[in-house]
Amino acid sequence: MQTMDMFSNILSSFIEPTQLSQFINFKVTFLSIIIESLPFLLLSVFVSSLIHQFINAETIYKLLPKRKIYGIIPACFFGILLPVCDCGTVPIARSLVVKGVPLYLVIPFMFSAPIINPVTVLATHYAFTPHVSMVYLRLGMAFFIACFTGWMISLLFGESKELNRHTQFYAECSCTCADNIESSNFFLKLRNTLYGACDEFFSMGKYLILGAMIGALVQNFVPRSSLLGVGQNNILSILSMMLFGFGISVCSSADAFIASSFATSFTSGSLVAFMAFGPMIDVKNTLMLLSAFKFRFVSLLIIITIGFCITGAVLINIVSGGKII
Amino acid sequence: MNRQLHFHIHSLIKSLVLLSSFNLIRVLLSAEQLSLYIHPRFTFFTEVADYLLLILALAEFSRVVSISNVPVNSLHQHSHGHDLNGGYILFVATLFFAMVFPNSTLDATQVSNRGLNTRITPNTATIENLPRPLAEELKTPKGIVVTDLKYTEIMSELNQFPDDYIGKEVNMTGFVFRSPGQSSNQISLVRYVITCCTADALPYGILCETASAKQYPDGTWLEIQGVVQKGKYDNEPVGMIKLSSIKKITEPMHPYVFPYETPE
Repeated sequence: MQTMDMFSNILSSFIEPTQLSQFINFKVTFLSIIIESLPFLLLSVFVSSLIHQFINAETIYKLLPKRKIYGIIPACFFGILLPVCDCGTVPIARSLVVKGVPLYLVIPFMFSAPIINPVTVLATHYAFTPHVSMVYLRLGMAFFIACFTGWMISLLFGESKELNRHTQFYAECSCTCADNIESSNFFLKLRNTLYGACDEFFSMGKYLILGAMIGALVQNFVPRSSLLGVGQNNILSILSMMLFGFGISVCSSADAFIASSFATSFTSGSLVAFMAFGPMIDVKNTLMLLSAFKFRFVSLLIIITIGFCITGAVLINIVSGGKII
Repeated sequence: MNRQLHFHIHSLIKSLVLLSSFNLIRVLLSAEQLSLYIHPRFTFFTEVADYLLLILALAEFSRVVSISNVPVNSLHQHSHGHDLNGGYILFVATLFFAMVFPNSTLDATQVSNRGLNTRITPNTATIENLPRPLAEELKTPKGIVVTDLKYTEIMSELNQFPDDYIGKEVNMTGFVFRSPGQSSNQISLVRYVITCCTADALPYGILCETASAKQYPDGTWLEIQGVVQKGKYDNEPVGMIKLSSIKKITEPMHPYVFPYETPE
């Protein structure tokens, strides 16, 4: 601790106090995002590695419905079983795709899981206490976007996996790269699970760090009051809240409180858009998605999601008159 | 066939990074500074995650040296090395950043960045204002002592239903912040409320009035005593505290307020 004090003393002789305090604010927010996401990231790299080692493709094929497109709606509910934050869903999604689950089932799961879980529902309920309708609108919006995005993906990409070159390689190399023998020995599988989790921790972790960095910059240098000017505009409020949700990268179980702090000045559609879009697509998970899937797929996915999110939010604004009901 | 010893520098770096991350969180935990970053309800998860980091560090360390009969497939090694090269620097920089700079609290400049509750949401319900679980308790003739545990609820009550509390004595702690448009004898007393991590901190406070307001710059921590009154701010009627006693204090050990913390 003494070295810390010494260092900050040296630092403060070079930098002006206001800049130093900005810097410290940045550090606190940056590190807090990482520390908070760490358990979720670790959980998901372990789950993903376990799937990779212990579940074979045939088992998954047997579990999938015969007419696969019918699986989209159940896939949206699957998230209840695995309550992870949005920073945790990408590695799991990647392993599921590698194992042969089609993208149009994996993406709906990935989109709905951070929103549908009990913690997020409870937090949203607390944040908007007298207006329970916001909880239903958020859940409804999440299902709407997840289902329709899944359907669009099935039309556009079919059974294609859209993995990028690196992940393609990872998929073909069934050996977790530690040894070249696929083993049926339980302890070897366990050891390979650890190795796999470790590799994935590093390949996903760097995107988490980058995303947290951008999020912390936005938090510190974009005053929220600068958003207020567009609050009651039907379309602009939606667009700016979605952009805001994309940028700040906060946890899906906390964003409802931020949304509620805008409640008097923003349209209800834009608040729901913020709470549905942010957990699905933000800086962190876009970077993670790009590390696993083809660029073309990720960009189309984002465009489709934006489209459905705006559509849903505009409908909410028309029905509610922009007010929170 | 001769046996070959392979040394994997990437595994060594990875295991050192994991070990340092484990250590960083251990230090934060033992210095009780983790609550500067995350809500205490996540402490347990972070502790578990920390041991997972240690397990991963050990697993990775066991990969540093390997013995094989055949030369290791070069394609294999190559592609993974490449993927990770760019990544290490981010991990190392983050660890350096975390260890060298002091663990500190968000300062008062962030209040205007994030928007104070009394300014941005004058009328909206935030945390549990209906069914107002505290209304009965606060109506008793005793004064109101604002505790960390009930901070957000009491602030909502005072800001949204000030009529119910006029003339009541209030004791509270917070730091000074001035919103644009406040008159020279007004300050706000503020705390950051944290739901998950410091990135989602929302400033919650109440307007205070005192003739000596000028003596307290933004960010000064105060312990105050005063009486609830009705005042006007931005042409909206608001609850405010007319201060009778003010004591400067150093920043408390736990500066943030964590709602829904179960009492221990």
